[in-house]
Amino acid sequence: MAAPSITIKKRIFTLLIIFITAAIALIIRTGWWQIHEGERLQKEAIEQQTRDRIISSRRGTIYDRNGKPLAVSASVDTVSVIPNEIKKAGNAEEVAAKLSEVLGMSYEEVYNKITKNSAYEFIKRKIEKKEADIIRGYNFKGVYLEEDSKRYYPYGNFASHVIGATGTDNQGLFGIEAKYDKYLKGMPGRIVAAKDALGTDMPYPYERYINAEEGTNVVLTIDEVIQHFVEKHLETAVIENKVQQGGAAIVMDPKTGDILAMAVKPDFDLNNPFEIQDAQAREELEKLTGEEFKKRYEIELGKMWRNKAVVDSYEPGSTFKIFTSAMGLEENVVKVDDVFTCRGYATVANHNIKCWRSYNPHGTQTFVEGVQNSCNPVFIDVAFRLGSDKFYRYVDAFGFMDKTGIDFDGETAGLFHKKENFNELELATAAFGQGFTVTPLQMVCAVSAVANDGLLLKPRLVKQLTDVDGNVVQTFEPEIVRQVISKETAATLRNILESVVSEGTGGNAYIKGFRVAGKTGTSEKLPRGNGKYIASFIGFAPADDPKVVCLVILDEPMGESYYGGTIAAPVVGKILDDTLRYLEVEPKFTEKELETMDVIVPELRNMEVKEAQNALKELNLKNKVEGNGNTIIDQTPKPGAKLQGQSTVILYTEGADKVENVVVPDVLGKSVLDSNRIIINAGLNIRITGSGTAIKQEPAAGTVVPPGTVVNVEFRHMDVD
Amino acid sequence: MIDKKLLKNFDTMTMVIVLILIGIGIVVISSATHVHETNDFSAVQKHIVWTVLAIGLLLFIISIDYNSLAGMVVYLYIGAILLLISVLLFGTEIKGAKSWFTIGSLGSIQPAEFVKVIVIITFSKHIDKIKENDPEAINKPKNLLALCIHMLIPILLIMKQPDWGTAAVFIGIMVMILFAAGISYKYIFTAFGAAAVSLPLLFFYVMEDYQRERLLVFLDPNRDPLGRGYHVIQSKIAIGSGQLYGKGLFQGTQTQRGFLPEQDTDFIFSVIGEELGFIWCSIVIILFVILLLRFLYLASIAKDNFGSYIIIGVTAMFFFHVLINIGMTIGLAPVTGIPLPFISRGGSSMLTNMAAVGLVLNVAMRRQKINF
Repeated sequence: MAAPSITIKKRIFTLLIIFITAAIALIIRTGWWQIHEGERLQKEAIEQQTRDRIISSRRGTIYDRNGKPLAVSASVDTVSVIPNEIKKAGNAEEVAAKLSEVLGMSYEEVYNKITKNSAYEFIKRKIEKKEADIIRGYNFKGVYLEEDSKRYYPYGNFASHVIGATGTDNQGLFGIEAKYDKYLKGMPGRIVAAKDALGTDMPYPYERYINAEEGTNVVLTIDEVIQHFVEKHLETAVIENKVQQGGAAIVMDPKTGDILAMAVKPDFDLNNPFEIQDAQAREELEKLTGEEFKKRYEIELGKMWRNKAVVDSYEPGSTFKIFTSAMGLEENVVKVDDVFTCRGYATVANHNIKCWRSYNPHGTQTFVEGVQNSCNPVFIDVAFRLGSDKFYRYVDAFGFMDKTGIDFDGETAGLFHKKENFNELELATAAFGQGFTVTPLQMVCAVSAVANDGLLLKPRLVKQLTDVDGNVVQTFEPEIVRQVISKETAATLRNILESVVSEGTGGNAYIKGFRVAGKTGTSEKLPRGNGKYIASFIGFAPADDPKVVCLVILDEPMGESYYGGTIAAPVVGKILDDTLRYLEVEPKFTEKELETMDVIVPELRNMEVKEAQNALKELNLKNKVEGNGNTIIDQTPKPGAKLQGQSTVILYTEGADKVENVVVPDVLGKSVLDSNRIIINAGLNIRITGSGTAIKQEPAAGTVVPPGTVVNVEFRHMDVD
Repeated sequence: MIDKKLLKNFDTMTMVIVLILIGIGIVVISSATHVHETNDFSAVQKHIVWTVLAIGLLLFIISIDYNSLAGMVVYLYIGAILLLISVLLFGTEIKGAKSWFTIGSLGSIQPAEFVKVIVIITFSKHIDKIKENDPEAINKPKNLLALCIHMLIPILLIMKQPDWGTAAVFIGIMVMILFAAGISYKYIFTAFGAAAVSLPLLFFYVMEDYQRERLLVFLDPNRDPLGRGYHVIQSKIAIGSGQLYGKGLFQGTQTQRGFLPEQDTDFIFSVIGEELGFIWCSIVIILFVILLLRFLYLASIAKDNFGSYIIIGVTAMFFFHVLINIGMTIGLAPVTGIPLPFISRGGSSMLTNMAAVGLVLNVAMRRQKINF
C-alpha cells in the first residue's frame, strides 16, 4: 500500500480550486439576490403576503359662492365576484339569473363573467343603492358589493365648461374637477391584511387600517344665479344670431377679480359628458369605426369640453379702443375735447386704412365723440401721438402679453406683435384692435382694471376650500397685479365709455335705471373677406361705481347682423340688468326714464270712475272712459299687466258702446318715435325695450285685439360697429 | 478498540465545524417548523434524536479500521444493490418517488442515502485494486468500463425511483474519485465533450415532456409560477427579502406564513436567507467550504490511496449536495430533492452524513504509517 501519490496531491489541489470557485459563485449569487435584488424581492414578498382593500374617500363638493352645491358625490356600489367561490357554492345559474335580472344585463353576459377562470371579475360598476340592497339581500357567496361613489351635477347643463366632469374612477377630467382634483379626491384609505400562503387572512394583530381622508370641498366664485342669467341670455343670442362657433360670456367683479359667471354655449350635460352634442359631428361619427372613430371622437370631445372663454383667443377689434383711449388720456397726449377729423380713412406708411364707416365719414368730432363713434382714424392719431414704445408698454401693462394666471387648466395668452416687428402699420392697426389676439379673460381683466380705478387684478374662480364640516381650509385672497393707469384717468374713461352707451354705438346695451359703460367690437376673422366675424361687447355698470364687468362674444354669427353693437351689446345689457337687480344695486332713474317707468295695472273694476281715475293718475297712467256709468265694469289692460308710464288704461262703465276691436299695426323697421305714434293712434299701448329701430313686436302686426292692449316692441340700433 | 494513538489523530476541526452546522440546523428547523407559534417541538426533538443516533453511528464507524472493510466490499456492494432493489419493490412512494422505507414513529428512511456511503467505499476499493500493481491501469478502457458498470448499476436503480438528484450526486462522486485517482484528462475532456453533445440530443429526443418542462422551468421559473416554478420563485423571494441582516429568527414572513415550501428540508437554506440574511448565508457557505478543504487536506495525508479515495468520495458527496441544494434555492440548479447536509431535517440524511464524516475521521485517525 502506497501513500497518496504526487498525482493525487496535484488533483486534490485542482479540487481545492474548484471548491473555492464554487463557494465564491454561491456567495455572489446569494448576495446578488439579497443585496442587489433585495429591495425588489422584499416588495414582492409584501405584495403577495398582504391583501389590500381600498376604502374609497368621498369626493369633495363643488359649491357656488353662496354654498349651492354644483357637483356632489353620492354613494353607490360596484358589484364584483370571485368566480372560484361561486364555483364552490355551485349555484352559478341561480346567481347569474338573479344578478342579470336586478342589473338589467343579459343572463349570458353575467354567467360568462361569474364562471370565468379569473381571480376577480367586475360585474357592474356604480349601481344605485336600491339595486345594491336587493343583491345584498340574496347573500350569495362570492358576490361582493364595494362602496364606490358617483358624481352628480344637480344643474346638468350649467357652467359645464367651468365645473368640468369626472371619469369612471372619479378622477377629474377637465375644468375645476381636474384643476382641483388633488383637493377634491381626498385620500382613499386602505385595510391592509396579512395573508398566508393559502390566501387566508391572518388574525387581527396583522391587520392595519389607514383611514380614508375625505375630499376637500371647493367653493367657486361663480354665483349660481348670475350664471343662470348669463347662460339664458347667451344661449338665446347664440340661437337667434345663428352663431356657428359658439358664444362665450364672462361676468367679473372688478373689485376682487372674482369670476361671477363664465358661460360657453353650446354646452353639454355634465351628467353625460361623453355624448357629443353637435348633431353634425355626431352624424359624421356614426359613419366611422375603429381607430378613425376614436381619433375623431376625441377631437370632438375636446372641442365640446373646451372652455372658449379662457382657452380661445380672438381679435378684439374696437373693444380695444378702450385701452388706446386709456393710454392717450394717461399720457396726456389727448384731451376729451380735442378735435379730430374723419375723412373715412387714414394714411399710414402709404397705406390707406379705412374707418368702419368709410361710406359716410364721421367728419369733425371731439375725442369723446370719436370714441362714441368708434372712429378708427381718431385712434390711429392717438396711437401715433403715443408712439410705438409707449403703446407697446401699455399693452403689456394691461396684461395682454401674459396669461392672467387664473386657476384653470389650458389657459392661453393671446398673441401680440413682437417688439421688433411693431412698426407704424402694426401700431396703426393695433390702435383699433386689429392684427393681434387676446383671450376673453384677458379682455375682461383689462377692462376690470379701468372699472377698478386702474388696478389690474388676477382673476379667480375659486374662493375657498372647505373641509367636510364646512370649515374653511384655505381662502384665496384677491391678488393685485399692478396699477396700470391712474384713478383719474380711469374715472374719465368710464365717463366716456358711459357716453358710448348713452349716445354712441353702444346704445343697445342701455338699460333703464343703471348707467352702463361699454364698448362695441366687431372683427372680421382671417382670412378677411370670407364673411366670418366675431361680434363682441364689453360693458360694466354702474359707470360711476362699477359692480360688474361683462363680456359677451359671439363667434361667427350668421344671422341678420354681425355687429357687436347690434347683437352682443343687448346681451350684455340684459345680463347687467338682471345681475344688478339681483345684487340689489340701487337703480337711479333719469327724469325721462321715470316718466316711462313700468307700472302694474291695478284692479279698477267695481270702483267709482273718479276713484279709478285718481288711482291711475297716481301711477303715472292716463285713462279713457267708455260709457257713462258711475262704476267701472271692465278695463283694458287687465289688472296685473305691465304698462309703461304715460300709457292709457281704458275704463268701461255701464252704457258703453259695443267695443270695437282694433288691428295691430306693423311697426317693424320704424323708429321709437314713429312706432309710439302709430301704436297710440291705433288705440293701443306700447311698451318699449331698447332703442333704435324696431326689430320685434308682440302681438304681431295684423292681430286683432281689444283697444288698450299692450304691444311690446323691441328696438335696436342696427349697423353700429 | 480505539487506542490512544488513534485518538491523538482525531480531527477535532472537522467535528467542530460539523457540530456548528448541526447547531445552525436545529435552530433554523425550529423556526421552519414554527415552534414559537405552535409550541410543538416534536419535529425538532425527532431531529435531535436522529442526530444523537447519527453521532453514535459516527463513533461506531471510527472504531473500525477502514482497511478491515476492504475484504467485505463485495458483500457491501451486493447488500447495497439489494437494498435499492427492495425499495423499488417494497418502498413507500412519497411525492411520486419510490425512495423510502417507513419505519415506525421516527418516520421514513431513504436507502439511496446509505448506498451512497457504501458505494464510495466499494468504488474506492475497486480503483485501489486496479491501481495496485500499475498506477496507469486505471486508464485502460477495460478497467474504466468495469468502474463505470460498478457505478451505473446503483445509479440506474436510483433513477428508476426516480431520484435524479441523488443520481446526479452519484455521478459527481464517481467523477471526482476517478479524477483524484489520476484518470487521464483525455477521458475527462471526452466525457465533458460527450455530455455537451448529448445534452441537446437528450433534451430533444430522449427526455419526456415533463422532464423537458422541468428544465425549461429551471431556466425560467415564471413559465409556471404556481406549479413547477413556485418553489424557486418563493425561495428567491424569501432569500432576497432577507437582504443583508435578515428579518430575524422566527420573523420571516415567507417562512412563517407558509409561502416557502419544504422549508425544513430541501429549502432550509432559504429560511436562513430570509431570517438571518446574507451574513449567515455566507457563514454557512464558508463553513462548508472550510470543511471540504479540511477533507481535501485529510485526503492528501491519508496513509494509503484507498483512504484518500474514500475521503475524496465523501468530499465529493458533500460538495455536490451543498452545490445542488443551495444552487436550487437561488436558481442556479434545477429543483431536485437534495437536502443540505447537517442542516436539513431528515433522519437518513443525518445518519448518512455522519457515517460519511465518520469514514473521513476513520481514515484520518489511521494516517500514521507504522514504522518498524
